[in-house]
Amino acid sequence: MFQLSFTHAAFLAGLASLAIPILIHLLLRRKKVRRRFSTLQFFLKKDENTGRRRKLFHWLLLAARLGLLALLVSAFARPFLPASASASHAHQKQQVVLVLDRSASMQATDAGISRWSRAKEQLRKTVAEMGSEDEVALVDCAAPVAVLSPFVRAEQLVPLIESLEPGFGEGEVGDGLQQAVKLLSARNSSGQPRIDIFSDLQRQSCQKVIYAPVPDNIEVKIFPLGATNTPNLAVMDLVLQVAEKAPLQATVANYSDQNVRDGKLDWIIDGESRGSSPVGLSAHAARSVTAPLPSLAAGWHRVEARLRAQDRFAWDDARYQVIEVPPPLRTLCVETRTGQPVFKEESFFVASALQPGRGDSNAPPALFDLEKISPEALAKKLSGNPSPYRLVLLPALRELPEGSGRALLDFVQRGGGVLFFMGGGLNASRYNAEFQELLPATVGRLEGETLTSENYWHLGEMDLKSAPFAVFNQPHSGDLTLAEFWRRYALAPAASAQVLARFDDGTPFLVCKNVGQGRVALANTTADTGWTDWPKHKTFVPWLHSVSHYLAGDALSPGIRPGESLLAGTTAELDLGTGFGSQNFRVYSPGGAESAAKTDAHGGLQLPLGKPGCYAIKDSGGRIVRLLAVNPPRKESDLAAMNPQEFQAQLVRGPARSASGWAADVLAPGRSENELWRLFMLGAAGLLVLETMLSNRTHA
Amino acid sequence: MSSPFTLDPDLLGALDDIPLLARNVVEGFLSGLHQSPFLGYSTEFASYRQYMQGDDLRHVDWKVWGRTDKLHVKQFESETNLNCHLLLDTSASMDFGQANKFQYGRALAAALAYLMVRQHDAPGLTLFGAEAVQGLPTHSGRRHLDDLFQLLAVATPQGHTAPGPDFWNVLETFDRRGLTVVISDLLLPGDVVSELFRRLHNHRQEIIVFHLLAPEELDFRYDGECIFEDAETREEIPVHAASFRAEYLRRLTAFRHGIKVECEKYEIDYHPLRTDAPVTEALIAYLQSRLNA
Repeated sequence: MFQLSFTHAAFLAGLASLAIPILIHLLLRRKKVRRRFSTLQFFLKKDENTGRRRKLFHWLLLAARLGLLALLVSAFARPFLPASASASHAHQKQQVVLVLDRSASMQATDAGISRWSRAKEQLRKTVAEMGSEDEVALVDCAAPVAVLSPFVRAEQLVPLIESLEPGFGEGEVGDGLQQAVKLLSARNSSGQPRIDIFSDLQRQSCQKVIYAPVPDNIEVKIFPLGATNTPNLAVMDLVLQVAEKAPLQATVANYSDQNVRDGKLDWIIDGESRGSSPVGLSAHAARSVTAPLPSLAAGWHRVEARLRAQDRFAWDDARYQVIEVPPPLRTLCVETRTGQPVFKEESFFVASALQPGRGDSNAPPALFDLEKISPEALAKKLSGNPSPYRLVLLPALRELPEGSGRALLDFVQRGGGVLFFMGGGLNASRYNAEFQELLPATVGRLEGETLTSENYWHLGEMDLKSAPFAVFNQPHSGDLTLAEFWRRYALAPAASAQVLARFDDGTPFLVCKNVGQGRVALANTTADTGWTDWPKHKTFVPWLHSVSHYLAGDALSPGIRPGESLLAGTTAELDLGTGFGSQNFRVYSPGGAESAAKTDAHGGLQLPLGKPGCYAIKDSGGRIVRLLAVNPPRKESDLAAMNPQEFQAQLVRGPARSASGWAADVLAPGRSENELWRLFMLGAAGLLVLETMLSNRTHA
Repeated sequence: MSSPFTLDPDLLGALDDIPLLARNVVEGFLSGLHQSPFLGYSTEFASYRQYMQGDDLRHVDWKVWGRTDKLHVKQFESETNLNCHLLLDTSASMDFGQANKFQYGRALAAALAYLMVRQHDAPGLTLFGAEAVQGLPTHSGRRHLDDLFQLLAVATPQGHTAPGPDFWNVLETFDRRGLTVVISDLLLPGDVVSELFRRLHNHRQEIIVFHLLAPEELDFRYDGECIFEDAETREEIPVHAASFRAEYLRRLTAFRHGIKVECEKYEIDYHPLRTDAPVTEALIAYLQSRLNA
């Protein structure tokens, strides 16, 4: 039996217009009046026959008009005989687009066999069944959707199918379907169009199907490759919360109808297990699991949260993160009171603030690597070029060693930072002369000698947007005005200097200036508790950290920071910085695979990402430039799938073109010899002639 | 001639009192004939003759005795009594028309009967149409007229116009020379009309035919698609009236012409009547025939 289908079935709504001639026929039909007459002997049977004939003509006329309208409407709907309908009569050339789902979920297993294996087997079978005249194209519906092969003969596709490997990206069956329709639409020849979908029909991957209308003339065959409800446990996320006590936080989800009671999540850092957390999960629930971050040496580190699960999809049982522990800031601290107990040293408070565990053998890595030196050793320490030090803390010096001013100036101009403190016994004029180009302010006379405790100075105006004070910009971050000051110098800030803080009477407290590539700051108080009690306040340490990083040229305290986390199956576009422009690198993928890569002139690097894990980019010297965490798409973990019937029901049949495209499509030559609209138009023309003849005859 | 008396044809159907109807028609008709050529024939007086012994003294014309001193008696029309047979068609085809043919025919029969009795003729009545033939033999006198009116009053048009043996047997009783008035639409099957005329003619009847046709039959003013139902046979024929009118009128004319030819063949006074026309035309036609009878 022929089963008629329509490319633009929506046009069939025009069949409602058939009611118009019927209504006209009924409304305008002359009602026959029944009349009693004395005799019918003057009426002949011929009259009756004429009446019947006229009646027949009227019905024929109505039928012709209805047929004319119906054929016109149907012709605009572009009728065609589907491939299946005509196949029984003769084998016709087929044009088939194979839409292959290469998403990560295709690596799930059902009954011990992976979906990917089933897909390849089914692909081979489908291609083998095609005729020599058939054309076939292959579309990968894993994001980003790609045409793996344009239309070729079936046998030409076999090598490509054999070489295909599973992907790790997201599946977008809707996009693949749309791409397949485009391919078929662009193929302006007379084959029977068909789309074969090889997918596990994951619900998450089929959400765009409703936005990919498929014309009615295209047959869609589904090859389901997985169960509709496959239980799965997955690590959905792994983040590093720097500010938290337990900075490692993983999110675990249970995509099954069963509760999970005795699950375990292992924390693995740099390949070594660092403990595990129990995981209990209700059915179809997710929860966060946290863990502390152990002390890590400076450099890049790989963090992995791995579930001990025996489910059917292994790739989402682990999630990766990379973190970078910056190297400590090497700092020189000039100590004037050498030979005294540590707590009596002038640098006691600043040293304790910057490197609390200094001297302890098991101290965790600190952000600062502090080295105390005598004033006389300063010039020698700074003589190296480049200098290994980035910051110098300089308390008030009674004696200025020879060449110290020159050495500090050179150090700062090369990018170093210096923090001057004031103190008793400082020779202001010597300071102003020796550090003329460095000091951001001219040191004046000493103030506060007659000051009583009732009117000690406090900090008043501060630039909370500046880097040294930005940490106090948040509420409850500390009250800087609590500290008391009872000695200070009168300062006259240089023209190029910037006053970042003042005492409550307006006298400058912290003055900064850029010199060459470095920065210099002058704190108008002592480094110890000689002139102030500030080192005893909790605001002192964060301020000192901030101003130290500021002077060393860092941004705000960098601390431990997470690296980039990218999606598997995508292509990463990395920016290594202009310093790495046009350089060759080696990329180490999970599993040990090694490949070459080269950045562009601006340091940009495009890196295709395959399986999940950590990718290392190393320079020619073998130093890690960047470490990347690559994880599977989250939505691939939910293995709930549609059945083929449900998928077919989701398909939107009808036009996928704009209105202008419509007209062009209707008027354009037919793509397929199965299309019948010309025949319908011919029939309509015939009925038009018949209608004209009948109409004239009836009226006569 | 302009008729001095007209009766609305619609009134014919409305009046159930046949005697009253007949009297009104005839009296009105006669009173309008004073100046007409038919005056002499509308009185009872016929001639004079010399008085003979035994004559009724009431009939002596005393005015003539006064002028001539001789006794003369009036000779009345009763002495010229004529048998008049009224044949009224009561078939269902007569029950047709806004101006109903049967009502018209019945009124005409009643009027004729009244006029006949008034002129001392002896009217008889035969209703034909249905299989059962009803009739009254010719007789004069008021009592007879009442019976005749009674028969007309109960007559109803129904059945086929297919005269059976009874009807022909009744015609066989018309043994005396007389006048036969046929009131019918003559829509009779086959050659019944011809047979009727032939038999009446053979019985030495002076025949007057009042051929009644309704305006609808004569003009056929119908339009559109119609289904015509035969009043007698109930047969139906769908016809587009407007387009068929010309053909119908052609056939009707041919039919009437055939009747007329048939009437001429048997020297019959043929009077086609529209039922929306005054009955007086029929009465005049009767009187003309009465002169010849």
